[in-house]
Amino acid sequence: MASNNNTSNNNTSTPMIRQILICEGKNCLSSKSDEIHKNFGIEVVRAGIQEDLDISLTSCQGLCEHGPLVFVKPEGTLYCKVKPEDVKKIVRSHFVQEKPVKELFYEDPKTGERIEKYTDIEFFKKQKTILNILADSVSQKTAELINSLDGLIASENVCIVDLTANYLLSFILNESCGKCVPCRDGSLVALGLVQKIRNGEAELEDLDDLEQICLTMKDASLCEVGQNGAEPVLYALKQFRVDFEEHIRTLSCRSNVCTKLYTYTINQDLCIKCGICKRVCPAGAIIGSRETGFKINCDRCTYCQMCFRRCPKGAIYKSRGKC
Amino acid sequence: MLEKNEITITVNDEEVKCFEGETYYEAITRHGVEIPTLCHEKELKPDGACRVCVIEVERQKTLVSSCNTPVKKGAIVHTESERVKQARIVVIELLLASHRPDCVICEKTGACKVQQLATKYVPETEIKKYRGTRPRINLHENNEFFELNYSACVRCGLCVRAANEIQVCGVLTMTHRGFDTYPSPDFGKTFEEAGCVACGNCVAICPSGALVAHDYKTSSNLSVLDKITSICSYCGVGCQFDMLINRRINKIEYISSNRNNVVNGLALCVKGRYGWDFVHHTDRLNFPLIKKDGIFTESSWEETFDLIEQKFTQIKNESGSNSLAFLTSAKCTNEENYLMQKLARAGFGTNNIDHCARLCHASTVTGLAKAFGSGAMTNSISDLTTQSEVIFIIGSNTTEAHPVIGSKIKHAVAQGISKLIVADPRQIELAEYSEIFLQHRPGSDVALINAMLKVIVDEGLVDEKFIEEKTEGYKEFKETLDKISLELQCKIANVSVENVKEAAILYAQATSASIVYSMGITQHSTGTDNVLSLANLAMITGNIGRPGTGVNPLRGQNNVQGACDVGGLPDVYPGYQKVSNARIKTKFEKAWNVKSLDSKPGLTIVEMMHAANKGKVRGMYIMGENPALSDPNLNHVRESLEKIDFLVVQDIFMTETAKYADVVLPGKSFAEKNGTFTNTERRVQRVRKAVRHVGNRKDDWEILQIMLNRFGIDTDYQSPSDIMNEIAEVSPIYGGINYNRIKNIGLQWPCKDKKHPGTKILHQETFSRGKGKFHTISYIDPAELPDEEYPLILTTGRILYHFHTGEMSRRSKGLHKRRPIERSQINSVDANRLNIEDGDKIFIESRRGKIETVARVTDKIQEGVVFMSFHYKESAANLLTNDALDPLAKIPEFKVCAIKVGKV
Repeated sequence: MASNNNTSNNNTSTPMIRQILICEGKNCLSSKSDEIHKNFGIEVVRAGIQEDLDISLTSCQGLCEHGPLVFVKPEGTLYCKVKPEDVKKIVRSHFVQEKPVKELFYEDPKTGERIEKYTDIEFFKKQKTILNILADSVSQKTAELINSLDGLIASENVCIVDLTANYLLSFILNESCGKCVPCRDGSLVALGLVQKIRNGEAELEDLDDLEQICLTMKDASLCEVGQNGAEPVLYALKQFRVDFEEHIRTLSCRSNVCTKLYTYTINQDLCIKCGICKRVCPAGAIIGSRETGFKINCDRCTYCQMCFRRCPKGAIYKSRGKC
Repeated sequence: MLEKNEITITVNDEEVKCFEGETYYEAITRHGVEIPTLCHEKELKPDGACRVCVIEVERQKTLVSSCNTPVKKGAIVHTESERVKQARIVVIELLLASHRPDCVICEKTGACKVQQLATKYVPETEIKKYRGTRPRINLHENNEFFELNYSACVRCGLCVRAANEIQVCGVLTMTHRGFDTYPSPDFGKTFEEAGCVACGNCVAICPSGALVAHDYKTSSNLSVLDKITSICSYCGVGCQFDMLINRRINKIEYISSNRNNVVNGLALCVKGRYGWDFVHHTDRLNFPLIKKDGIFTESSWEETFDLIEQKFTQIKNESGSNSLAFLTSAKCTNEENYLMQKLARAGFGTNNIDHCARLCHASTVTGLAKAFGSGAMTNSISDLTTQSEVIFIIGSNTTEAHPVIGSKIKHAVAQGISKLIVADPRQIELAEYSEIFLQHRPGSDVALINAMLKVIVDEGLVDEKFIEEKTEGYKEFKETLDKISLELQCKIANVSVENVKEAAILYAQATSASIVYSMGITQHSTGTDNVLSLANLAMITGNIGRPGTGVNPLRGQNNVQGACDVGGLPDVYPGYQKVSNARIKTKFEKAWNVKSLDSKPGLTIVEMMHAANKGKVRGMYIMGENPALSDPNLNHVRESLEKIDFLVVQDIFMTETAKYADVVLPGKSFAEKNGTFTNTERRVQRVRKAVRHVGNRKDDWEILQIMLNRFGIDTDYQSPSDIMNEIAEVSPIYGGINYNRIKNIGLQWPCKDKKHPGTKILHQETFSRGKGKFHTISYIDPAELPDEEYPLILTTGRILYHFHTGEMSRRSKGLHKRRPIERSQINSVDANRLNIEDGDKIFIESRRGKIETVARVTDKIQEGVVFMSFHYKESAANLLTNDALDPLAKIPEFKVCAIKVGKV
């Protein structure tokens, strides 16, 4: 399905080549970012370093009043208010002599200090990585996603299925403008499928459907929200397919995050039959008395955690498996 | 526009030639390769929303939507690769996920594009049945004409685009975003509250069963329906549409847009789309009726014809040919009109033949013939609405009277192609779209145009070269113009000098500027002067004979142009050949094989009525006209009709006029006959028989043929086509027109011979009369001005939902429901003074009559003026209007008369 070009980019083991990203948002374009793009092409060839560099265009990055913007990655240098005639200097100094051009750095409006890396700028600092991912080129995005996803998975309390539903797909669902079908309906149907997995109602074919929808979103959406938005989901499906399959096969969630796939259970050995859990349960899901002991009726349980938190002995625990 | 260079692309391993600037969809489908689409529509700008039309272009990161991506040189394209197919299936499945699941019981089943896509492109093995949810929408639209059912909506946005690009009404918009998006009027209003004119273009374009018309809902299964392409029988735009006929029950089921025509494209208006049900109305006349002792009794055709023959012969013998008068019909076909005038001229030897063009565009025919040599719209609708830089609209409420042209003009303005100058006593809808709006006093058109002419001369914006080469009489014209005062003219017209200056300069400086006018100009006792002034305006700036220019009268009835063309006028034979010309007379005597034709022009409508009142016209034959409601000063007309010894009325309904008749002949409606209509842009188009007649009706041309034969003219026409061939023989402007040539898109006259392609723009090289003539025109007051006793001015016109005397439109369920009663517009200041509130019952009285109506208080009309439509017989505006005539064109002054208004 995906073109060869993309697969090679997805392969993270190859050393990353340097990237020059030129913003071609409307504002930057009006201050001649197309000419800058052209000049980079010429200058890089003149300097003889075209092999080591990838010159790409990006969509609007915000910070338009400082445009035209030129990003250099992986170091993350940001050049602001670049003029076409500055290109020669940037290529010579930054890429040949490895000395970034200081006078084109971002100037902090409060302190007046020059900031080299875009990640240090207030404006970008406040943004979540995923927003950057969307605007980033494909390879860069996947790389960062791996970092973020791998980092998150390392922690015990994160489940990839839950993450996909709550974070990746909900994000597209919120961002979609509703014009084109793959992004508008695709994100909702895909979310429905992940919910199904999370609720332990899915079958293995649903994973293929999910992948198919995401591929179509990536391939046939009108704009980058749908195209790039589906990419993280596809990545999650590729890298963590085992986890998805485990959810479906064993009807359990390893991290006990997917609510329908674990139940709160009272460890009768630790229970002192104090009855606090029954008193605090708002759903009336706990049955029994101080004489006979208590049990949680998982059909009525709303997973509010009141009993779990209030149990003085910590006798209530999450047990894997569907109710 | 991009230059059209030819480039080559490769489609599915085959080389395909295409043009730069066109889209992949256009290029590929032209070569016979099919690409499925949902939201693509030829007439609309491509949107790329549905993604069903995606194709694979090599070296592109993602699939591209073919409908809105321009071709690139050397591109290698796959339309059926695995990747494309897979994406297509998923997209269609996703569409179905949130679509209603009960396809079988949906009204649209069979015609639903979503259903077609699913059955065609999703193989059974691939059916996924994704589970979606439908957005919760607590809205439901159900009006007189259609309903909106959100459960079937696939949110493709076509209706929104149709509303904004075809009708330009802005009623619909996509509300909310993301999955919750859906089309609706702003702020949850109903369609009508949001300004919907019920054109139904959004309904026609809806691919699924979301927007469905009521007549569609109750229609039979598509497979038993026949499709007949015909022409709308309401206004003069001449929209083509498809009638869907159920032959088994002999009924029109609904009307759908015909996408392949050049006049209107997909667009229709509310009357054309939903106003056809009068065809099947129970009030239709089915049998010939003879009035015996004041009561109409059914009789046989034989008996009826005998009676007519006997009476007409008797009158002719007693009082001479000219004691008979004939009214032909702008609603009937060219062929029928031709036979009618042949009957009058050849059968009875009288030129007393006229029709309602007298009441609408007589001054156009006279005026433009005097100035240019031909009294018809100089340009075509298509170039008017796509190439005019400035459109000057005066005296035409285009969006209501000619709705399809109106929306095309709005489209031109919205696209930034044209700028509008609107001059009208009322603040019409187009005024909102105009650059300059001049709200002049009714009847002051000459003053206003003279003021504009004066500004153009003073500012030196005159096209000297054009005047020098192509016109005459400019010197005298300018001398008089120099004498008039700009300020005085503006004062007469009650407009500010600055606005007039601005308008004149805008008009004169445009590279192509056109004039559009209608009844507001013609229906005055100075109608011809008004038209001549407009001709002056066009000629002085050289705006004639080129695309996007010209003087464009919009004709009112479906075939009023044709009825004039084929000689339904007292002074001309078919093809505007003068009856007074001896050579022409001999030609027709030969063609019709008669001894002597009358060389004196006959009586016009209003003159006929006067003559009848005096007993000079004793017999009358009226076909498809309703003078007892449409003519001015009705009391007088009705008195005259009563005095006529023998009145024959041929119509489809028992009209007000038919009630006065001695014999009523049942005619056929446009849906039951074959023939041709000529629309406002001179396009001769085919009307086709859709349903069989019921009862004992006869084709109108057949009735006329029998009459001709009975009165000594031997004819043997087998079909209307034969009649058209005769028309072509005798009138040079129709010379090359025959049924074979006008099959699909029609032909615009003049069309001199069989090879002539028709004429889009008149007066291109030279004017029809040789040189265009400037006429010196000075302002004359309307015949009746307000005074102390009758302090207000009444002006009349049409409203969108009804047509003329309402015989057709008021018998249409939906239209009648939408506007059941007359609501006369009155300015709020006048209303306040007279203590009238919106919705109050009021009386309106003039020197000629008094009627009751309901007031509609509005500021869209200027102070001192009251507007009434003339569609309602309960409050017939023409009881009030003045029958003062234009001296040349004999058109009565419908647009100005003095009245008084009060609360009932």
